[in-house]
Amino acid sequence: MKDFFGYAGTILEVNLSDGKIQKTPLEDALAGKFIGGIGISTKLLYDRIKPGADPLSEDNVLVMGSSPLNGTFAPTAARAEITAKSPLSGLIGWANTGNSVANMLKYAGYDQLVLTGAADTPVYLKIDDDSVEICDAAHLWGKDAWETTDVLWNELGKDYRVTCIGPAGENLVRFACPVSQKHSAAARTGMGAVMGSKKLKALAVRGAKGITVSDKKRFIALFDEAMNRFKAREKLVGAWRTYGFLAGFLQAVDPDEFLRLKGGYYACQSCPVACNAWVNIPDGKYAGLSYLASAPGTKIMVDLMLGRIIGPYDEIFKSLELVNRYGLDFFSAISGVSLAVSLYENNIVTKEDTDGLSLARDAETFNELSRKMAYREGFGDILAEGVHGAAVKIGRGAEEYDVSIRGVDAAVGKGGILGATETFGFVTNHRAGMMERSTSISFRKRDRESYVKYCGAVGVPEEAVGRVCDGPEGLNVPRLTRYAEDMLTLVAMQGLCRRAPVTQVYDLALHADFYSAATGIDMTGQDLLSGAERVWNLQKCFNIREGATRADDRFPKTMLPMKLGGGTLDQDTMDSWLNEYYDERGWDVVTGRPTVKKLQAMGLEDEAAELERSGWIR
Amino acid sequence: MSDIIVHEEKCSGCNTCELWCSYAFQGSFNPLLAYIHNDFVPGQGFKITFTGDCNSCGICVEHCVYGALSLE
Repeated sequence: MKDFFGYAGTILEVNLSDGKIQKTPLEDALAGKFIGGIGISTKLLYDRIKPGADPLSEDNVLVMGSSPLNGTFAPTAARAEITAKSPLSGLIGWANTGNSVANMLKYAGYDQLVLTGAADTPVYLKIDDDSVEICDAAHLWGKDAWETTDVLWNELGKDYRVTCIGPAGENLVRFACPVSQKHSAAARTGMGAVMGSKKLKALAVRGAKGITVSDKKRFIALFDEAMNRFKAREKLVGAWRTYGFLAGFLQAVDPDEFLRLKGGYYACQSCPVACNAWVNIPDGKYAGLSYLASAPGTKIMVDLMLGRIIGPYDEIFKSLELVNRYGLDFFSAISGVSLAVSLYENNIVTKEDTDGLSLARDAETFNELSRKMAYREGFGDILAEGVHGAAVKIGRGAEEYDVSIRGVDAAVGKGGILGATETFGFVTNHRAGMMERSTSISFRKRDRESYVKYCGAVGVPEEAVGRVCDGPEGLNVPRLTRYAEDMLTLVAMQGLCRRAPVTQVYDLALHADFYSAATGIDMTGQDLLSGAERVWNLQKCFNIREGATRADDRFPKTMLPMKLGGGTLDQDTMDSWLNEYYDERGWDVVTGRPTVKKLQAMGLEDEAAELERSGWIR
Repeated sequence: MSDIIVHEEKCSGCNTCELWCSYAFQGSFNPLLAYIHNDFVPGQGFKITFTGDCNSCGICVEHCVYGALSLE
């Protein structure tokens, strides 16, 4: 077998219906074209999932993908995505996570783990290097994510990394998520429900093999270069290390209270920033509560943006513990509770609907509704459908409170709207919900020169810079969004982190250098970006095949018009922005879809032919 | 050979020390193959331990950006 560098060299496929376990050598063509992480995962999903497949059936496929850099000391190379057809949107879904089992999968020798079919009874997958075993999980089913992890650690040892679902995943809550190592949630778009539908309680992975890179000397030099860049951003890194996601919002929050409840900083593997924290509540009713928390600041921010659904920070951290135990996506859970409380405040739902509960903006309501969601009990059974599904089920005008895009809650609701490309990206992101493929560059007002500099770092072609950095605010939002999406797709394909201090360090050249030194495959930044564009287009193809149209690329009525930057974003502006966005992507502006020619030019000939045959594209 | 002094309150749990150690001594990356380890203990933070094979070479110290390790 061929020697691989960076890549582990094998795709592991497990069919949970018939128990067949298959190890396939990674093909050069697949790696070369789709690079890694979500790139390869997207291709595997596209080829294996039949259009129209029920996301909560054995026909769905779940892929955990890693990149050539994952598991090395390339700074922040710990991120990975879990991907499947989303039970929340019925379209492509993915969720990014920090300290998951992905790096350990690499150490065990696998780049991608592909899970197909569904077991009849609860199982967990145990991977110990070459040994891959589907194990009985009867003793784990019904346990929460923390209990499950503890049982597996007791049985197998703490060398095993554990990713598992809680009751929410078992009960097919549409926004259930897998939780790794008790705290790192692959939160969004319901990947935990997909695991639940496959009766797959957990993945427990131990890998004792090592990852080698092609050019060791160069790889070390690149590490030094990256670390020097982090050091040059000492102030920014320091702010993130201290306050995490609250760093940019210190005026709006209570930073001292946050620090009082923080035991210390905590980093994902190989990260020099440490924007995570370990919670350590010193006093009050939760005195002694202590656990690792991924990005706890985001929970405080979202709570604030939704109008303080939970409120006090110690209550937020208690709620986060519960949500992690249930295996619920915190963002969708709080969006659901926000919906429920709003409907209650406006007499659209009453105690008759809520199983006799009075709903208020407090932790008691949040925790009780979260529990009901996780177990699909009473009113929670409706909320477990997600904000869109719940609003439709409730009816009676509840639809007016639906803050979802393609079925996925926007998470910030309509109370708090982020900066420009971040906001627009909610709509163009194939998985919808939150801005994770839109850059934070326009989060605050900047001059045109800053945008020109950004264009250089992310490889915007020179001929496009003029129109991307156009307009009174120095940027054209939809056109810039197109390039930001490709760059951040590349970040995900490399298994790196998308937080601001990291994306500032990794310009396109450093991405290419790291990739080439790790794998021994020479790629330029533009090669990698072309790969990212290919992946973005393939994700679009997935959604087109599922019937998504231009009409789905929209904010719900309740969110428009919204104040944005210096002006107001209304539907007319959105329509014209979408035209510009599609144009910048080289897509058909009328349908909002890639053309046959465009797909062919990107090497997606088979996909182009299939979609053209079905009449989806022209 | 100097001894390595740990300042656990500064440890972030990032495992970079483990990755450098495994890379230096095993020629490949894997924290499980390292001679230094860290583990999170609720209420206390990260605990750093060394295996019997550690020869205090200091490569972990050199690459800890958090200042959690130093040489005597």
